[in-house]
Amino acid sequence: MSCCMRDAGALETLGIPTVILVNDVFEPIAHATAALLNMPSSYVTEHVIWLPHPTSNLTKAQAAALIDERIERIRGALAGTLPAETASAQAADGEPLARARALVDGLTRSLRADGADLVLESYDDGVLRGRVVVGELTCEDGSCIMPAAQLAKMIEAMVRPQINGLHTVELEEAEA
Amino acid sequence: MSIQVYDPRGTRESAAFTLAPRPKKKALTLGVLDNSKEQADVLLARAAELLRADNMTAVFARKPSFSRPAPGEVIEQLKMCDLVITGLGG
Repeated sequence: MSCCMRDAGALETLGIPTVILVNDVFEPIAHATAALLNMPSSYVTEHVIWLPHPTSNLTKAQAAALIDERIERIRGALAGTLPAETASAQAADGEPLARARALVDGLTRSLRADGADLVLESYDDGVLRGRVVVGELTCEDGSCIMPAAQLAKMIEAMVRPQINGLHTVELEEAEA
Repeated sequence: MSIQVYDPRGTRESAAFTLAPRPKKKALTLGVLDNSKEQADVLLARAAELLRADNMTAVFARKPSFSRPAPGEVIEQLKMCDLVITGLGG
């Protein structure tokens, strides 16, 4: 999250309302970071303006156009009158496993870029189970992929605020 | 004989979070915090340009690295602001 949420937290604590521009694939991480910082669950939906990912390959005119399209939402967020909108609004409904998959979509794409994959397979009685499938990694020593146990904790922080009743994430490592 | 027992489990304490109240005045100083990520400057500059129409005067600040929290001197620059917009998260 490039520390934007932490900076926002520091500024809010100083009495300065803060609005954050964020690429939409990072929505789950934004929620997880907000939870870690003790922010209210509504903070992300009321203070974050989502931009489609990626933005690095846009021309200056295209990047400016993204802001033009969202300026009313930016005004609303600054004024504290922003209606809730999530980048993955489709994940607000639907059964827990589908919702979890949608919430970790950005993380899954990051893992695939490094040669691994995340497969969420089942959800029973509050336990989300899946596998981290390790293929041909882009790093020689395997350090580019977090161990499954750590990844499970990270996913738990990301999805627990969004899925009622979920209390545990269990991941196994498997080879492709 | 008493035995000293140490609990190996760690505890995590995090500071309480306080949401800032919205300012009520008409003319506002808008802090624009660029986190140095690619395109952050373009996106934020455009937002500041459009918000001038809302009687907002921009104060620009830039942190040296997007992967670290804003250093104290950057936060100091923004303390005079009524609101802040920052990016690019991700």
